[in-house]
Amino acid sequence: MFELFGISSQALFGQLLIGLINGSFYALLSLGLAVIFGMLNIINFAHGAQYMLGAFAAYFLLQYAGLGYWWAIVLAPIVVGITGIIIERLFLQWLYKLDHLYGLLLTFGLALIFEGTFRNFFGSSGLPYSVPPALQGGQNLGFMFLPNYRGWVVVFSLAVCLTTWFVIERTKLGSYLRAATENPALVRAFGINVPRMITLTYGFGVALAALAGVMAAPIYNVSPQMGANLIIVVFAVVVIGGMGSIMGAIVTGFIQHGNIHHHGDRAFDTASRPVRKERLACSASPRRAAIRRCAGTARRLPSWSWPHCSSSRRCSPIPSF
Amino acid sequence: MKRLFTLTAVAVVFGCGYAQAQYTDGTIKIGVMNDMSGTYSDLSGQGSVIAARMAVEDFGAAAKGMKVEIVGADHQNKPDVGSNVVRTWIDVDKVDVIVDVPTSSVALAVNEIVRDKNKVFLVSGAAASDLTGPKCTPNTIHWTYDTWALANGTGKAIVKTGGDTWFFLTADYAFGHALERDTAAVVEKNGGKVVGRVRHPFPGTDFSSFLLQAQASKAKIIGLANAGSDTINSIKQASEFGITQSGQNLAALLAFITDVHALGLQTAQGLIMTEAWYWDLNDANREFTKKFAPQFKGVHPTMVHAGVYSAVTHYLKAVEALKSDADGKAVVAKMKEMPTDDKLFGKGEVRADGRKIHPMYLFEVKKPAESKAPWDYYKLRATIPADEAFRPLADGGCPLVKS
Amino acid sequence: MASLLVLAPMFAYPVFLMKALCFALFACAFNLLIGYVGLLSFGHALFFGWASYISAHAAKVWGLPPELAILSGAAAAAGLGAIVGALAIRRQGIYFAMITLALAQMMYFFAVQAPFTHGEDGIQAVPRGKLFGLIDLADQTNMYVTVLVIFLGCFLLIYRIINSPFGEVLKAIRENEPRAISLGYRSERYKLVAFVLSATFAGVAGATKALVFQLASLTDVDWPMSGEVILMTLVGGLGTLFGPVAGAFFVVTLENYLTTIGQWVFVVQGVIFVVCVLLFRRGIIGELAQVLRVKL
Repeated sequence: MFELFGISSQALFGQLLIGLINGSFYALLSLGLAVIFGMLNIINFAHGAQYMLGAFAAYFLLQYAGLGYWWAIVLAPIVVGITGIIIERLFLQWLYKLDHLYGLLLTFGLALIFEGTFRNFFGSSGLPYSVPPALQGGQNLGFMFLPNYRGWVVVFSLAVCLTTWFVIERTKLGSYLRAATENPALVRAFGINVPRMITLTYGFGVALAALAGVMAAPIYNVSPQMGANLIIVVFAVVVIGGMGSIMGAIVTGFIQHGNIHHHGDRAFDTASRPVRKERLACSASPRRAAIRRCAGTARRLPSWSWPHCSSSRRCSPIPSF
Repeated sequence: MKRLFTLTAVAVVFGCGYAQAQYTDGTIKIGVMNDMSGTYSDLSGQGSVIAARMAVEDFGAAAKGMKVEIVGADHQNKPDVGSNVVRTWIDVDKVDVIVDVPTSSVALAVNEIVRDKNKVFLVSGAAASDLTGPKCTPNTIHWTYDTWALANGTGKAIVKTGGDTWFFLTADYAFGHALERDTAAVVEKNGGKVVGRVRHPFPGTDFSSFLLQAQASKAKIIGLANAGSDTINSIKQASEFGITQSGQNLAALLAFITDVHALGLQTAQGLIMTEAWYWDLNDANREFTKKFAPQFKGVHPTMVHAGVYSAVTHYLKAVEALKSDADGKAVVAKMKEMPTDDKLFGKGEVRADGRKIHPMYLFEVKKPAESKAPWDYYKLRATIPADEAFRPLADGGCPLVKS
Repeated sequence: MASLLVLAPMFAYPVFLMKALCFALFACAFNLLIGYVGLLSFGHALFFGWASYISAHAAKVWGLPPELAILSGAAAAAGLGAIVGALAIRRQGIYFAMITLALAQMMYFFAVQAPFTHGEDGIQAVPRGKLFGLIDLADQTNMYVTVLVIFLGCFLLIYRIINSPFGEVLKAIRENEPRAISLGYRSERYKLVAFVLSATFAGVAGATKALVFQLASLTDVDWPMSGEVILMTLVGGLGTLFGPVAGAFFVVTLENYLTTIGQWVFVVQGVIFVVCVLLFRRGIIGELAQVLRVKL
């Protein structure tokens, strides 16, 4: 076994794998956020709270309906997604014409409401939720012990991420969505129901957050603060990946965050957090434009974010469909 | 709907004899401040208010003509919220004694304010051993437990029973560091060895990479120098990674019975910890629990609640003897002068540095099969006698102690 | 407004009023940035909190008298403002907000780790000292008058800044930046100066708060504090002069009464956010100004 930076290769592979596992988790979360921002231009500050709602939904399903994990994976995102749709219809739709910062403030307020209410009724110590029997135990991989559940998390989030990316980037429905963001009036003129699509997209983004919540329930504490702890980190992932870029969010979530987090923690302890934040700050430089283009998602971003495109609409072509 | 917390005045009967005693504005006001809705709400929270009320009733304040009021407040584990509440309580609401206050950072802040305003501070929830060390004041008594007692109890006892190699998983903030430092010192003094340590961010959610390192170290004992949800999460995830199954033992350096309840016996079995009080140790404790639990949604009293009961009882005795609650220093001096005796902690004393002395107990969490009822979680491994349980008076560095 | 504040301690608890004043100043500083330049900073707690740490440290460890402690806190905030501003100014809107948030969080984690802040415990037992060597600030009334003077002084300064040629350029930049640039104003420079000014005033607020409460803790640098100041400004009225003051008093009063009901504070804050954004965008003072047809 070799040594790298004084860390044995055994431990290194173990850390890499853990990093990948947890990164996949963050990727799933960032995916929802990226979808919402990319499609709707709203920073969904309530994303953390919706993640928490997903975990609680799973808990309730188990406690009161006796429905286990596998049911929760399907039902919780649907239920929370519906609340997302309600939010969009009740609150967000009035804000599209305004400065998008109001959307941020509104979702921030919603996050406070959700967290405060749950904290009041459930305290902060957290509620138990166990790993489903089918996924308990683990495999001894030689260099580390891999719990089955974490392996499942990687596989499943990868699948969900890729499916979502595929739908948005490669299917007709996805192209309608993208077009609707670019030029809603024109798309409506073609007879497509734009407001409904936007609502459903928001609901979908929220459902993704809830799905992440259900997956987190067995390994992290189901507590009202679980979202607040994560949301800042998730923003970092989304911004570094290029705001609005789906593939960027996925890739960044899987690789950068997970590994920086764990290697950072190993080598620099909590200094890793400032490292991530620094990258967040750095990412706001013009270099990011190049990264975005490489990711093939240049078309995803609204034109105002490109300094050189502020006057000309031709920078954001309407995709053919 | 949750009850409103502050100014839930429990006016306990005004007697005819109150003109004989000079209490500030005629009432003894007890302020119970702790975390009512956060991580520590089960181990202290509203339960401490209940314990205080029970103490007042059992003391028979009414019959003796003493008018006692209890108010409660939530400090949300934040020093600025806590100090605000205490200032307002003392300046505006004429509160005479502050009780409980878990979370060391808040306790230290309150410690200063109470000294400046010459009231009384009875700490039950907080752990910082500095409260009877460099930060000691003539107005504060540290009741139930502290980091030194925990480190000494758990560390020494475990090393003596064969757990001689340690790996620390520490919360990366002042409290975690202090706990790790104190325990490491005890381990090494008793012949053990610290083979590694790792710090996790506070608060943390995912401990997988740290637990991996702990596993790789092959230390016999993994010491958890953290508290609250961090402890619960680390234990949960440790069981996920099969750590206890593969032969390593977890030592929770600060854990309460409510944490074990949250984890469930399946996950928590075999855990070793030190506590000052357990509801099932003797008949008096069991009787107290029978009255307490129904008032606190079935949650059984923790050592923090017991400490509040004991502290309030002794306070009332001192105030009765002095016939006054106005001068905080005088009351505390009286409390140090009188030996303590209450049904929960038995006989004990309060030292010159403000440290309440009583035995500590080393417990191990039962296996699910061994437990006959909910909350039947502990088996007693060792009793640490009172004179060994706490840091020696001379070692603390308290300015009140004449060397 | 000044007369109201002078008479207030007769009716209300002075410490509560001092808290409200510190936050009012913080909100005014924040409003300078968002109301008059149009930049939403999600990391203003950084300046507020770090100034309070520096001032607490100065008063306690270096033994500086209160006026110097406050000045050192403000200076620290100005310095931090220059650095953060230089990094963040190049971006607009959401990106600006996210960068400020990121940098604030970075400094938060630094505060958790740095030994001099004592992490969770915070810097406690900060001595209030004697102002100018003469006035003992341990006396509540003296402290209150000092805080009031500081607040009114800074408020007047902000008023002068807004109603000066410099302020007019800022408003022009907010309205239409390309046009301002085409007129020859170097908007980047103006924005940076405004940012540093805003940071400095936030620093004064933080430094004063540390002396009032004799405590500097992690809560002051954490992002919910940034959220609170946004709430205060939003409720009071963005871009109005008295808005932040009204908003600060409103929120601090609310919190005071709501400590009785524990965590509902967050819910109420959230509800206020939602209601304000949807229905009440002009804020208390803004609506009042609309009704009275006065510029407030």
